Parts: sequence; structure tokens; C-alpha cells
Amino acid sequence: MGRTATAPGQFGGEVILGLLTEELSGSYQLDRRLAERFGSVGYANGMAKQTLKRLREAGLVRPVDAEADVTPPPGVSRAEAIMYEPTSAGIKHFRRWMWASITAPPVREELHAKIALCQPNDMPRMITLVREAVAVCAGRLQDLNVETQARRKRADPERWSSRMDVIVTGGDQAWWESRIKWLQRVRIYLEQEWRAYQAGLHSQVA
Amino acid sequence: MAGLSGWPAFAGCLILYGAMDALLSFQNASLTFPRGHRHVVRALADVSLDLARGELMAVLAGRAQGKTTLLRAAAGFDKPVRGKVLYKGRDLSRLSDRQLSGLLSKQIAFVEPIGPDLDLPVISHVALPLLAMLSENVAYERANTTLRRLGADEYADQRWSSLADSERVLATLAQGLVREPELLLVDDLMATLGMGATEQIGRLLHTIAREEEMSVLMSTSDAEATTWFDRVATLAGGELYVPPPSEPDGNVIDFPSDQPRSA
Repeated sequence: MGRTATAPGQFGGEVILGLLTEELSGSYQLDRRLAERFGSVGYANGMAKQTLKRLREAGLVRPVDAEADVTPPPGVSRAEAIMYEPTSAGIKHFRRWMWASITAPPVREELHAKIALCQPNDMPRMITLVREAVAVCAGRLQDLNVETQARRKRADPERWSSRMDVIVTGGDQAWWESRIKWLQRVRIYLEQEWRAYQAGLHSQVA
Repeated sequence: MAGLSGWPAFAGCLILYGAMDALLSFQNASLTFPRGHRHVVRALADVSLDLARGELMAVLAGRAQGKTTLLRAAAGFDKPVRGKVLYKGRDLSRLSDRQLSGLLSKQIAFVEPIGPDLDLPVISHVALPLLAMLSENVAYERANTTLRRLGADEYADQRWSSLADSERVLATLAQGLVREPELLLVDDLMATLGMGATEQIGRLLHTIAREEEMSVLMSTSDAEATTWFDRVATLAGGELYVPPPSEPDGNVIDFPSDQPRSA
């Protein structure tokens, strides 16, 4: 069963682009902001520097002024202090990623990243993405049940391995249950926030 | 895994699956309850589902998400303000009280985890729904047979108050099954059970449903209780999602992952 979440590296570039869209930063600042915003995901320190290099080669970011006389803070190299901004291609790439379906269940990290970076106008799309994630997780739970039924029909329920299978499968089911219930709460919360935003109840949106 | 081209075809099969032989159908059913003078609570929002004959469908949801309302609407107790609930193609909200009562005594059974008011022996509780239709002897004999089938006959003479949780669940199921219904509605009955009991009772219900070609719609807050069900829907804020049937070999259908990643 594909339990492992999408590795951060698979969409780390989009996360960096999103952070740069919010505020120009150098790699050392980005590492700090990643830790603040996505601490639970556990991005490696130094990830921003590598990702910025990749994004720059792809033409998605550029240094704001590489020749500027930058005085880096203590312990930070000059290269790490260079400020970057997204190019128009970078902004376009980021928007496309924000609105695309989640790549693979169980979607936690990628969905977290999108919600963390979304703007009020993105909320309807976020709600749709959460619905899709619920659909994926419910489908996975159902598939697990069908597999379990087939396995248990073949096995002697009194065998020790069958008794232990109840525990192992129960653990997997509990995992999908908690994911589904959390996603459903997220959807309801986002719907409330969207309604409040439309009604002009959020005075500060940035 | 289904490829990109396989998804629409699979979805097409599902439409056929649902429409082919639905015993119970919700068609865009919405149900609201007034709260105070100015607010309404959205209990069901545009709910659609098709439950085939002999199919077991679980509805997984947290507390106060519309589980009981969904089942009450399936039994015709609550009527949707929009949309329809059809049983064998008949709109439940258009039936007279007498017609609905006839359905509920013979074809649709609704069971919920609420203990009886009177502390009678289990056998009496199970026989009770039959006493209006059958002689006392026949009713009690059928109640005994049902309890035996569930492995619960050994405490047929015990009073309800003396039963353990798992025994109460079996006795409650017996109250529904004794009517030999075509549709059994089970409202979050297994929430109090431990691991082994959930597995055993779920399996037993699956076996009986298959043997009797009985459809089961069960709400639950516990994913483990869904093990022996064909489909697992989810419900939150009155919004229901019903996945397509899984492939028999348990292959995973990756719903959106292989679609083009474009806005």
C-alpha cells in the first residue's frame, strides 16, 4: 500500500516559488521560512540553496541584483544572502501547480503546502482538491477492505496469523479513517472561510 | 492500476452498476432542519447514492455529520426538502403512512444503539416487532431462530440490562433481522465494540446479507466496522461521497493522479 507521502523534493521547487512570490528572499532566509511554515514536513537545511540553483537553471527564478554589495549576516555566505525573485515563467509554473490535482495519496505534505501558500481566491480550488483527496482516501480504504475480505475468506480465522491480521489491518483502517475525517474537517473549515471572505469578514488577507 | 484512458470507462461502468438494480436510491436529496428563527442546519446536501440489491454499503463519518439523518431518510422517517429517496423505484415521501408502515414492518428494518424502555428478556424484544403480524408462538420461534443464527441464543432469556456491549449489538441486529428485511439500516451500532468483536459481528452480518440477498446501509464512526462492506462512503457536513466499487482483486484505482496536471 502506498502509505508514504510524496517526498518533499518532488514539489520543493513549487514551495520555494510560492515563498518567493510572497516575499523576495535569499537561500538562508528561505531555509528559515521553510522551517517556520512547514516544520512538520522536515525539509533538510540547505534544501533552499539546491532548489534555487535548479530553479535558476530552469529560468523560473533570478537573482534580484547579483552584483549588489550585500553584507551577509554572521555565519551566512554571500551566495546564501543573494535575494531571488520568481520570473514570470516561475509565477506561471507556481499557479499551475497550485491549481493542479494532488499527485498521489495520501497527499498530506503536498496538500499542506498548497493550503499554506494559498490566497483567498484560491480557496474554491483548494476545496475541490480536498474533495479529491477525500475521494482518493475513501477509495483506498475500500480497496483495503476488499483485499482483506479476500484474504480472510481464504484463511482459517483461528490461526494465529489471522488473529494478528485483525490488528495490522485495523491499524491501516484507523490511519485512513483519521485522514478522511481530518480532510472532511479541512473542507468544512475552508468552506466557512471562503464564505466569510466573500462576505467581507476578513479585513486582512495577506 | 487504471491508466488515464481506463478512468472514464471505469466511471461509465459505475453508472451502470448503480442504475442496474438499485434497491434504494437517493437522488440529489437535501434535508434541512430549522435552528431558531433565522438559521437552518444543512443535514443532507444534494446527496445521491444507489444501493444495489445484496450490496453492503458503510457510511463513515464523525459525530453530528448527518449519519442518522441519512438513515432516517432511507427509512422514510424524514423527508427531503429537495430531491428524492426511492425504494424499489417508489418515492418514499409520496407513500401514505399506512404504505410506509407496511414497508417498515416487512421490507425495511432500522436498528440503532438505543436500549429498550422495558427491561424484558432479549427474546421478547426480538419477537416484539412480529407480534402484530404473527401468532405469539411463531413470533417467538422466529426470534429464537434469528438469535441462534447470530450465536446469541444462549442469552435469549437474559434481561437487556444484564447484557455486555457486544451482546446488545447482536440482540439489536436480531431485532432487525427477525423481520427478514430486504433492506437493513444500521445506525452506528458497533461504536462500542473492541477489535475482535467488530470483526466477528461484521463478518456475520456480511454472511447473512449474502445468504439472504439483503442490502445493508450502515453508518459508522469506526473504519474497522467497514471491513466486510462492499463500499465505504464518507459523509461530512451533510455532503456524501460514494466511491465507485473496488475491483474484485483489490487493485487500487488512482483517481486523480494520472490526469493531466493542468489547471
